[in-house]
Amino acid sequence: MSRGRLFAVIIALVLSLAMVPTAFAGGIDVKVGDVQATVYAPSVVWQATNAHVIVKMVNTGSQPVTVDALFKFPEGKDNQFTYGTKPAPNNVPPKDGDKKSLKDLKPGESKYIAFTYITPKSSAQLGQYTANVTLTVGNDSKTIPWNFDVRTGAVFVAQTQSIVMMIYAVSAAMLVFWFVYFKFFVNKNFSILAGEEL
Amino acid sequence: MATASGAIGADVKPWSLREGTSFMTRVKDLGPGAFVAATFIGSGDIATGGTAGGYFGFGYWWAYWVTCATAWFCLDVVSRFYLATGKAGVSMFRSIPKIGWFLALFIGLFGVYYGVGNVTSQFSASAWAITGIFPQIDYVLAGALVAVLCMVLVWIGNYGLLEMAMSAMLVAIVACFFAAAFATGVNLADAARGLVPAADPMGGFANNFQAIAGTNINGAAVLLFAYNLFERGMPPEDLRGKARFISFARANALLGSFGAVVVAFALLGVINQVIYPYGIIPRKPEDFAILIEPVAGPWAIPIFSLGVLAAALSSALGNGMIGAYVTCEYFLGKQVQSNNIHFKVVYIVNAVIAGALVVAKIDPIFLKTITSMMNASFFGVVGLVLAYWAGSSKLGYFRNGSSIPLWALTILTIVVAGYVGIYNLGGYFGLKF
Repeated sequence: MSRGRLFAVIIALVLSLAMVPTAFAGGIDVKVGDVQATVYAPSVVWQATNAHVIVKMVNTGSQPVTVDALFKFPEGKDNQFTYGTKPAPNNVPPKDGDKKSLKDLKPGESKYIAFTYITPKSSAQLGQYTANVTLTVGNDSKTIPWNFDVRTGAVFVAQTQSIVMMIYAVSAAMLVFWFVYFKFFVNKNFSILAGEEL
Repeated sequence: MATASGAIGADVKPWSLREGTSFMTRVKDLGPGAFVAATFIGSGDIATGGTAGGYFGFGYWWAYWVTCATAWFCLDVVSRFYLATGKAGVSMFRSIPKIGWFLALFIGLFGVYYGVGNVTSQFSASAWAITGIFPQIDYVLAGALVAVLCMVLVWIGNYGLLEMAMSAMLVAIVACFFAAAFATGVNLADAARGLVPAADPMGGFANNFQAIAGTNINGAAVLLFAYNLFERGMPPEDLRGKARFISFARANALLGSFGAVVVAFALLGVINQVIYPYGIIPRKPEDFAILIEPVAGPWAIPIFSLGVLAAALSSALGNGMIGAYVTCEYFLGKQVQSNNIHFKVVYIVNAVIAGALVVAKIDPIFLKTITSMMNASFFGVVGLVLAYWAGSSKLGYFRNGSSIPLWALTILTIVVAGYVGIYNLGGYFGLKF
């Protein structure tokens, strides 16, 4: 490739990378009162894997406002999920959803509300689910559905100690296996205690 | 063949020859460096970057630079040892006086671990990545396909082909992660601040530094470099030829070690924008893709998955190969190349075990964390042995001599290896720090 062509390819690559943010921009936009909100949530969630819903809000009005956000799990299917980082049984999704408030969002100001660690159980039914986020500003209220696909995740979520033991056991067993393979079939002169002269 | 007992060039003042090669010549011959870089950057880097970035955004970027400087030095010593002795890997440990047999046993054990434990983790991450790109493919089938692909590549036994595949995967890793970083936007001011060490507000320094050191100074990948050089043939006999060879090796070492810094920039850039602000600590590639998608769009999952696939697949090949190289050299008493039948048998049997563990669908989250910790433990020993050789007169012309930068890097390596080694090996004996 000539230098000119190489230069053109590099320029095209840089320009295409610069265009990427526009092409990739996602999120669901909604206007609630004077607040311009964008809800970011994944379209795919794996079993036993955390998902997070993030709502970005910008006050486009001239007065400070309070935004109330209510996250509701898929109706009748909340038992398929855990919520938050606390261990069971304190990670059960609240029946009436989880509420968060953002007080005193000043004009022109941009802030986030996040509902984090929404996790399908490892036994969660696969398929499409719909949860929703309701945003309320003053008398105005909007509900934004969140459609997502739950896919197969890890089946056995092991604890650290059991994995450590498994690694030790497998490694030790394989070392013995290779010792037998080499010592008895390939290199009978092998000695563990042998050093080496340079 | 040159031998250390002959101490080639011992009578010439170290580093007095100027036998470098041009920049373009170096760039055109970066295969071994790309091989090592692609092995260095695996699923553990993604998991570790996620944790470190989730704790502190770009705050740990400086640690990547420090550990990669150490990694470069280790690769450099491996090259120098190979040039001076014509030997690679296990010989560096077995030839240490008195305790050589024990160090070799230690390396032999880790060779087996890398061949099975580490490869399990990489197969698993590869399988997940395939299901991210092709949702209709089952995880178990994806895991089996990845294992078979690696085994076939190794069975073919063509090192040139493997080097090309690893180079292509390195390009894919960099391109995909940078695409994700551009998609989410990178805060360059935060990146610049990350170059200056600062206190982690969440108090996670010790664990995060260990994990970063474990993934960036992967002791196995360091040893892999020696075998990569060996695959390229024996070093030149004459001192001037050797001086030119070290120039080639150092350029490759630079790519091998600092490739991880470049990828860390992209990874931390993504985390800093879409994860860190919410106090979320992602631990698996799945967490990453899900967090990126809301900001970057649905294309983020296949793009990021492709990056994870390239990273994990290349590490499955590289780490599995180092397992086979070390196991063969340990038991045979001589280094072998990738077309050796015992090398192929060791890689494939280890890969079958690793593939079976993946097909059993064991969650790899802890495995990756432990892999980083094991890498760190391993490096504690590898780093100290390499520091020993750096100053040894047996390297002849290629010993540290009076080079202040080399001695500075030797001291840095001793400090980092001592810290992560004592921290991690001490943990096995119940010591808490």
